[in-house]
Amino acid sequence: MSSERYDAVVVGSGAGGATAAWVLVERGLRVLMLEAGRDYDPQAETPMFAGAAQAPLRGDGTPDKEFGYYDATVDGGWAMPGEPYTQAPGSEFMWWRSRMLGGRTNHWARNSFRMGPYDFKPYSRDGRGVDWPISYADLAPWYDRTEALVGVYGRNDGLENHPDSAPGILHEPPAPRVGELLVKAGCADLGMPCVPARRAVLTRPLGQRRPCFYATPCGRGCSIGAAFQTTTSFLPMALATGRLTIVTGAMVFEVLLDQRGRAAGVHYIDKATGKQEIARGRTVVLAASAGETARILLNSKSPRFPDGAANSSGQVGRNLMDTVGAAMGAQFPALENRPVYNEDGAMGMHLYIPFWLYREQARGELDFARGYHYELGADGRTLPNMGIGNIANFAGSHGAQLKADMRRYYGSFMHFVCRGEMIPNPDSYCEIDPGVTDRWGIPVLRFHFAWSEQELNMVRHFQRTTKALIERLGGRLQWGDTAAEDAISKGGQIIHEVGTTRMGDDPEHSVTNGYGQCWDIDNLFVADGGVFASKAHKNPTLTIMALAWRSSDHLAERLARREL
Amino acid sequence: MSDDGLPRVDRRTTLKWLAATIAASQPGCGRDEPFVGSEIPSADPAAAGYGKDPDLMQPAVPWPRTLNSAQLATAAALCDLVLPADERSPAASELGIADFIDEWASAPYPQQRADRELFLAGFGWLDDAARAASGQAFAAADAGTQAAIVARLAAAPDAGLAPQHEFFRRFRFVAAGAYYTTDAGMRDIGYTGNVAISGAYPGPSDEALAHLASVLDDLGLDWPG
Ligand SMILES: Cc1cc2nc3c(=O)[nH]c(=O)nc-3n(C[C@H](O)[C@H](O)[C@H](O)COP(=O)(O)OP(=O)(O)OC[C@H]3O[C@@H](n4cnc5c(N)ncnc54)[C@H](O)[C@@H]3O)c2cc1C
Ligand code: SF4
Repeated sequence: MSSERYDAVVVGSGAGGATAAWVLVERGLRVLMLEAGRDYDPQAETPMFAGAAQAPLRGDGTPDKEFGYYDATVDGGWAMPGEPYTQAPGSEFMWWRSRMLGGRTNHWARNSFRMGPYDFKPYSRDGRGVDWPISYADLAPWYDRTEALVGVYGRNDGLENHPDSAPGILHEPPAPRVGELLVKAGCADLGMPCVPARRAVLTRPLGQRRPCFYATPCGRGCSIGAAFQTTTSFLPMALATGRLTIVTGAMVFEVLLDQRGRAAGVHYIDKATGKQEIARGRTVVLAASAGETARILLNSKSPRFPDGAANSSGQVGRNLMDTVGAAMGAQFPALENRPVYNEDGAMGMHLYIPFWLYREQARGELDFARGYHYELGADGRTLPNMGIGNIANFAGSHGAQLKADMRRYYGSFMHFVCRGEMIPNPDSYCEIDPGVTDRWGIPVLRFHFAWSEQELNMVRHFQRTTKALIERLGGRLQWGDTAAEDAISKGGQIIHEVGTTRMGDDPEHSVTNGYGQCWDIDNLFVADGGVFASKAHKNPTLTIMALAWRSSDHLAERLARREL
Repeated sequence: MSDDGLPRVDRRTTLKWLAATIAASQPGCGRDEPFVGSEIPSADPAAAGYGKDPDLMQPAVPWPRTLNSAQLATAAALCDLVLPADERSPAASELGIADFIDEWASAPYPQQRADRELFLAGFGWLDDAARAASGQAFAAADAGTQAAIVARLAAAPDAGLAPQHEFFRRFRFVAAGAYYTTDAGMRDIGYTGNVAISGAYPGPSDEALAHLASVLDDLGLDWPG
């Protein structure tokens, strides 16, 4: 690595890192991005229309590719050779990683909901957890900017705690499919809302990116740029300025401090040579994902910071949260033997069910304090994969009867997914495992995780509500009606881990201020989900990007004023 | 959960169950018909998977096929009894499903290794049952014998054939998954997607909406405004 000193060294090229890099170069700064994974080219590497029949095992998931052969994840998944993480006894935590340019944005589901005013002040509302140091109004302009560049389909419905976007920003949502309309009719009967979902998918052109053509699973990545991923948007845009340098295969393990205890750059392993290298910058932005950023900080031990860099509060690694997950599935006679039409659509949800019980919650009628939404698996005749074999066993027949049954039942199943807010608790955190290192000798994370009655009660409520909805639609419940303790997802399983370097207005109880700027080291910033002070049920990535943008604007302004 | 929304309840490891079955099927341990008779050859232990970063544009199966010709013949006969030809689509064996069973049963992953044991035990049982009934291996037996055996397999598991039934369910899962992911299979059930559309997504056809209107009527639900 050359000895050039950049204005900023950005660690990680996923949602947070790519947003930060784009904003900083756009403001004229010179940025070095270090990415642990390999380079990745969506134009050349996305198997858009490839058939399941061409893939090993019909593309079904294996320990090598857990989400299927064609899933865009490179060198990642729940387990990675030579790069372990551990769990404390009695804890179960799952950590999905992806070692590639663009990180997990290459294959995320693109569900993109804004947090609302209540979500930033949860402690003020119900006395649990902590408030954010910023309000919804503080972040709203950056949500607009982020959505305008990311490209999000959806509709402004003016719902409580579900903010509208500024006019003209949202892309037209795709027409709902039959299953979604059926759910909407049932919801109306039960007094539940069912409205267009918001997904980071274009339905009109945006720069070089083309609108969705309503085919090809988004989890494979989107070579036409319709489904947002940083490798078709922020990264090429930033590279085009000539001010961004990207080094892939660079595994950062430590923040480098100068004599005054300020960040001077980072230490990394060049994975090609195995050698330790130094990258220097006037500022450092960590966006390696909530888990990895905490790991880097905790591993950056020095006499000044014996517990890890920026950790005088002891909060680094603490307050680990994930989304509350649960799901139920049913078969619907009303959807059997339907007229055939193309139900691919934008592959993901067109409609969803936002949280609707704020009044009841405020009146103390619910035994859980925070919200959840439904993600709908009501897209009917989806692209067949090995899972379609379950329909054969549902039918239970064989021979001519089985073939008739397959025609009858295909497209008659729907599933309902709970995505809920977890309240931070003292039993959920990550720390450095004192005895385990990865293949480069870097100490790894050990996870502790526990749900509380709050989350379990939420799952019970979801299960009761879902059963009522299924029943109203004449459906036959198939799965998911188990005890809440079994039905609830494992920690990390929803892949929304946040909170490990939380922001706050008080250096004693938080790691960064409202700009992701570390209290202890003012030229060190965090731009990933680590800074979340709470984990609203809204999927985190849009908020990660809006916060990264706001923080990077702040960084650039302070740097311009020579304050950093 | 699978991305089509169906739970993968079938995908549990069957090894533990198989061990219990073997114990239970020893003489004197109950009335169940023995399931695992002959020894099961294991998959090539040297076989490796495709790794964490396979070439998605040039997919290839790196492990060798391991079923012998008798096992392949049994797989082909059974998959055609599960998914025979009719006026809309060909028989499973014509779509290469038996070869896929081989690909699956030879794969070096835990789920597939468990299925391998189950499948090979099941194939052995089919041959034993066919020989007892007709003096021929299952693949060579007459259609009536084959149909009668499959009918027993497919019947509720309480007829002293619980492990055999479990084998059949798992085989049916893999065979149907393989069948309906072929072009012919997808056409048969009315999957019409995976084609690029220019302009807005058209949404449901008029017939599809009319059908929805009628089922909403039956359910006493209003049209969603
Ligand atoms: C299947 C799936 C579906 C999802 N669906 C949604 C959804 O619908 N909505 C939503 O909001 N979220 C969703 N998510 C979550 C979303 O992907 C993450 O919230 C988001 O990508 C996090 O952004 P990030 O920048 O923090 O991390 P990442 O996107 O993971 O990027 C981090 C990058 O840092 C690199 N890195 C890690 N460690 C180091 C190191 N030591 N040195 C250098 N580089 C390093 C990684 O290789 C990676 O490229 C989904 C995730 C998955 C896997
Ligand atoms: S469905 Fe649309 S957004 Fe998704 S990968 Fe295909 S073209 Fe891209």
